[in-house]
Amino acid sequence: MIKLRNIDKYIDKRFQRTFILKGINLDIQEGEFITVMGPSGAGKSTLLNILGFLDDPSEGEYLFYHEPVHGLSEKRKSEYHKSHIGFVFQAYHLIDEMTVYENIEMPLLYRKVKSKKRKAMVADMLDRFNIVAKKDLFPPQLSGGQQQVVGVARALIGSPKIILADEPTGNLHSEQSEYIMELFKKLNEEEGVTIIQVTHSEKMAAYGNRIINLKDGAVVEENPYEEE
Amino acid sequence: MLKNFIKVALRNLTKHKGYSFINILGLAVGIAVCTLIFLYVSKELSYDSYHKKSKRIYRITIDHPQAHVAVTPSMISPTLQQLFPEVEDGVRLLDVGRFSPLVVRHGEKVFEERKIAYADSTLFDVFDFKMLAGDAKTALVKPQTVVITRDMAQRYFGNESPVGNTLEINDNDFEVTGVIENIPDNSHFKFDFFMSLVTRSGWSQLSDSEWRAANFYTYIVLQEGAEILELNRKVNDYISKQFSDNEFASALSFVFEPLEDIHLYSGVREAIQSQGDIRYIIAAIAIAILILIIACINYMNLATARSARRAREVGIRKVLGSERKRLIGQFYGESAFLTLLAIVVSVLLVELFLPWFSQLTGQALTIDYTSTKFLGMIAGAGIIVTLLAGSYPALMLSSFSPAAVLKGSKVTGGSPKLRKFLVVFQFAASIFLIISTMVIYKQINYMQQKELGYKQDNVLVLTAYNDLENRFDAFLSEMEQVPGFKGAALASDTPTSIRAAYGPDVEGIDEPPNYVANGLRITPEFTEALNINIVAGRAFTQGDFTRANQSENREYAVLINESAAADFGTPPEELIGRRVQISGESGPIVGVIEDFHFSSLHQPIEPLYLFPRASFNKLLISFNTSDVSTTLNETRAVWNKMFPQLPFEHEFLDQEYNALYQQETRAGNIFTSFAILAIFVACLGLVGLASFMVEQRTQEIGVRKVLGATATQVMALFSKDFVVLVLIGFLIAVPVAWYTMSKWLQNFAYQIELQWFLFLIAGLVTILIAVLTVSWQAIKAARLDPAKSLRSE
Repeated sequence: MIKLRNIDKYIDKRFQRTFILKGINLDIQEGEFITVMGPSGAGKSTLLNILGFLDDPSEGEYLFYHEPVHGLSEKRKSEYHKSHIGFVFQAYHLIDEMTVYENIEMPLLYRKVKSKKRKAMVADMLDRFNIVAKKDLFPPQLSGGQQQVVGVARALIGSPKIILADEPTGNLHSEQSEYIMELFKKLNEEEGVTIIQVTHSEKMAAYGNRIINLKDGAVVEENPYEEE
Repeated sequence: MLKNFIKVALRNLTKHKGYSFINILGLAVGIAVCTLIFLYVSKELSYDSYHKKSKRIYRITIDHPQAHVAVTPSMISPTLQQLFPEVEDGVRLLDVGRFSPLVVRHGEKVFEERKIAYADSTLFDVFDFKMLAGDAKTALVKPQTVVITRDMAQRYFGNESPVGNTLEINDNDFEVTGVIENIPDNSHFKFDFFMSLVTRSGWSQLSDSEWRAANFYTYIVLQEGAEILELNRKVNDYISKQFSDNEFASALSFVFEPLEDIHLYSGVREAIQSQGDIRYIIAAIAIAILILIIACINYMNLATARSARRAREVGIRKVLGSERKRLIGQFYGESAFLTLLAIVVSVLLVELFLPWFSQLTGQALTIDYTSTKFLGMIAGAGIIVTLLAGSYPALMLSSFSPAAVLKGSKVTGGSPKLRKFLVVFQFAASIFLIISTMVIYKQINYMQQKELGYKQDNVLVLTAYNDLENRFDAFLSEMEQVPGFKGAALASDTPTSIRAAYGPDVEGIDEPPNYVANGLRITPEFTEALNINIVAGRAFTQGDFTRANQSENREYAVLINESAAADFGTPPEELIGRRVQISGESGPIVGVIEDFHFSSLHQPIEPLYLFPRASFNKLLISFNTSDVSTTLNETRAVWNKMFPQLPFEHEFLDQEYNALYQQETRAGNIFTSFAILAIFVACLGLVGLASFMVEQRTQEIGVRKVLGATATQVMALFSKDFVVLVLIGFLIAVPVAWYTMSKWLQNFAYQIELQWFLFLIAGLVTILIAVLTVSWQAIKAARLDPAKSLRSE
């Protein structure tokens, strides 16, 4: 599904080239639950952004469903964002001016889903995550965990093939974190959604089935725990 | 999707009420100003365009080396119609009410009327005045007939039927043969009475073939398809050939003014009524645009400054699959929405301020909400504002990279350089307007205060009726009894505007060819009553007056002004005793008077000849009293006792003088109002910007306060930034204002000097306003509790 070959990401500063990612080779199959770990500044988020077409690699080849990403037009990338990729953020990134209902509905608007069908889909989502009662509230009125649930619901409503989650539990306390992780695990196992998450917490990493450890922009080891 | 956008836009508006208020109010003021100016300008531009043939009607004016005048000899219209087939039709007007009013009477109703003219019977073929009663074809064909307007029919006849009835005009009976609708406001003449010109046949100045004095307004209709320039050339050729021995005629050329241009472009002397000036129209448009731009800048600055708040939304929308162009559309949509709200508010503002603005411009302005022109203007303004104000935020916001904004890195909020540039522009424009306003006011003030060389205050101006002229001595001796009476004199014009042109010939002086000088006929009391100084020789005596008006062996006496003497390069004393030929008679120069201003200060003082020949238009009564109303009442009593049949309609000389600067005064008032508005809108923007900056630097303020900064220091920190911007704006505005205002001042022969302190005041005032505005926000910042502001981060 995803193939990274010799991916470099660097910033040129006058006389010096600073590498954020260097020589990343990675194959990801459909249905995997991957955790990217590593110290701050290791390039985890950059890798995730590249995987989600939010950033372009400086060098190397990225194949998404056998299609080279650097050749994709902005329109095509938008298409993929609508149909294949869902994002979940550490800071939730809900739109404060919209209600829970409207936040979840928004991806459907961009996919031009008919109003009736939209209603059904959003209702379904609200139901599934047990937030029907909160549908008319605005994000600032919710707790962090609830906001992240909405964030996940929004990511899922487009039935993406892959979810990219950047420290999804970074702002949550442990109980909420576990709830979100259980959710991911269920999605992965029951619906076969590919999940790639970035996290600092080994506890959260344990929910996945593959771990990639990054250090100074390079993969240092994969699945450090499996050997144990 | 659209619903979603509107919902978000609305929620953004209500969530940030302060910013929304500033934006909407600013834009509404801008659009309201544009609407008002649009109404004013379209009225000014519409003059005389309501006639069917307006595009083919031309007024013939005379361009003579000494002056460009709107009047021609009476022969021009008939001669051109006869000689040139291109001239389809023509009409002459003789504005008799111009020099002195006529007394119009019907039964008990008596009024002085000034808007009264003689006209050819072709009047209604050339111009489209709506005939309410009577036959346009025959109305002015017979002598002693008159056509009046609806208002006059009402004034004199009330419920009677005017047509067929009789009006007594200056003791002659005229038959009313027609009633026309009142002449529209947007006309360069608005007469109330048209008497048939044939009534005057036999008068020495009225001839269809001979070149006589230029006293007639001449309008011709050009045949369809004919070339006006071609005709103009042919006419000038003909005149210079035909009248080669007429010194005056051979030196002039005719200028054909398109009817619709007369009001704004003419600038001739002897205009029928005060005219507009296209330069003031252009200035008004420029100001409207300036204010609109200032309002748009507010929107741009606030939108981009606050972009950090919207950046996240942009990022999320992009990640969820929105393309950039949809985001651009969304932000344009938001500015369109805001503009729409502003338009609604502006309509209210316009309705509120229209009466005031009408008064300011001296035009009765109304809005026709259904006219396509008006709707087009509003729509146009809306689109321009949307694009102008919305473009930068739309393009900037939609360009954010989602990876960057979602990661939480600080979004700069647009280029601060651009924002600073825009603020500088706003203040440069405001300072420019303030300086201009002050210069205009100083100039008007200077003109009104200037020593004109004659007594201006407490001088009463009345009409010199024949009856009064005949019994003037008796009137004088009656007036001597009135306390506070200083003197009275009769004259052909008032000293504020002397406009009769003569061609005097002074003994022993070689006048330039076509020497034309202004002339004034007066009674001997004139110089004394108006405090006019004699430089050499003596004033007129009663003897001079008697000799000048006896039926045989008439002998004039002449006074000239210093400018006339200076023209000849001879010392005034040496001119005394020289004989002058003027107005068909001759006599010696008995004295030279000190120069006084006898036209508006646009013009320098020209040569002036005074002689004591009877036939007067004005009575000037000069008072020496502080109790004007008593003296005035007693004067009225004397008048009513002696001339019970004549109306006592008076004016004061200084009022008449100030009326000369009506246009400048209006321009001054318009400029002031708009300069205040411009500053107001610019300050609205400052409030928004300053409060944004305070918000953005809350943490910095907290840190500074923890480190020991006082509230004053924090305030200074904020004010400094803005003061620098205002200073830069000041530096830009000064040369522009200097240049524009020196150009404007060149319209006046007598002008104030542009003093540096005017500029300084404008700069200081603006800085003061800006500092006050910013301080309001800065105080808030300075009083922040550091514990709170630091915790929030």
